[in-house]
Amino acid sequence: MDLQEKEDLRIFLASLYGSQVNTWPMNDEIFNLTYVMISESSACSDAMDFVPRPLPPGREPIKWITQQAREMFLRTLKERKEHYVICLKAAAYSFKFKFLEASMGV
Amino acid sequence: MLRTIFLLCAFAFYSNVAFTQTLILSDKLQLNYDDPTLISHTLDTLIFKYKTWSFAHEIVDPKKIYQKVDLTGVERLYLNSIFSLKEREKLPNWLKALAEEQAESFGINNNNVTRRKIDSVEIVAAFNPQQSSSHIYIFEDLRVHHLWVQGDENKMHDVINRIGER
Repeated sequence: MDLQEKEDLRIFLASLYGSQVNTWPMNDEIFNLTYVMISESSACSDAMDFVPRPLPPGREPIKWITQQAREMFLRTLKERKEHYVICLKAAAYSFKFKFLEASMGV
Repeated sequence: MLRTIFLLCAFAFYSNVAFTQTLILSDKLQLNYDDPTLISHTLDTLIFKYKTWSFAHEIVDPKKIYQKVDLTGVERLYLNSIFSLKEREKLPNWLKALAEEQAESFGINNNNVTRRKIDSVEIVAAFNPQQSSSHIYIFEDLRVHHLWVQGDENKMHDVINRIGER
């Protein structure tokens, strides 16, 4: 991810998890978790309209999605974060510890 | 020769034995756990990592369950309502809807909720096969603990059974 993508991802995740996100590295694993969280959340499926689906089994989202689709996906998450904060509340809480593990590299 | 064999056996034994440690949860409660591969500490969460599974612990902060929603005062009822339809009926509609959504996200159905009681302490948990993880809540008089187990259902039961009185 380039700097803009990382910033978009950070702004989006901060709306779900608060200021602790400022200590998280915006890396491939965090992106993959974000993708999986959104794709598994039936309440927020419109976010996935910007990326091709379904993800082939065993493939990492970051390596499968084209950079152009990824940029659009992250930009949309950032620009519509108020909407996604509402529809992703439950999924974000379920995924919190996975993000914490990933943020610590463990 | 005998001494060498004894030393080798002792080394093999101790390198395969997991020693039990104790995490103090409160003045009345503790959790026994085997030596993990590593322990990680985030802002307010302890993560215990093993080769094939992990678990994490936090004290529930009702202001931080969800962003921009303060559940102070209703956090026990709300968290219980995720696991119980009867408790959910006591909530206002907007919170009931959120509890339903959270129950779905935790993979909770009518017959996969595990409960345990230790004196006045109540433990409630559920395993989510889709995510291979479990959420466990421990309701004490003065605080609520949240444990998350990333692993199969047996690991969830194992963690629950290792919670005990001090």
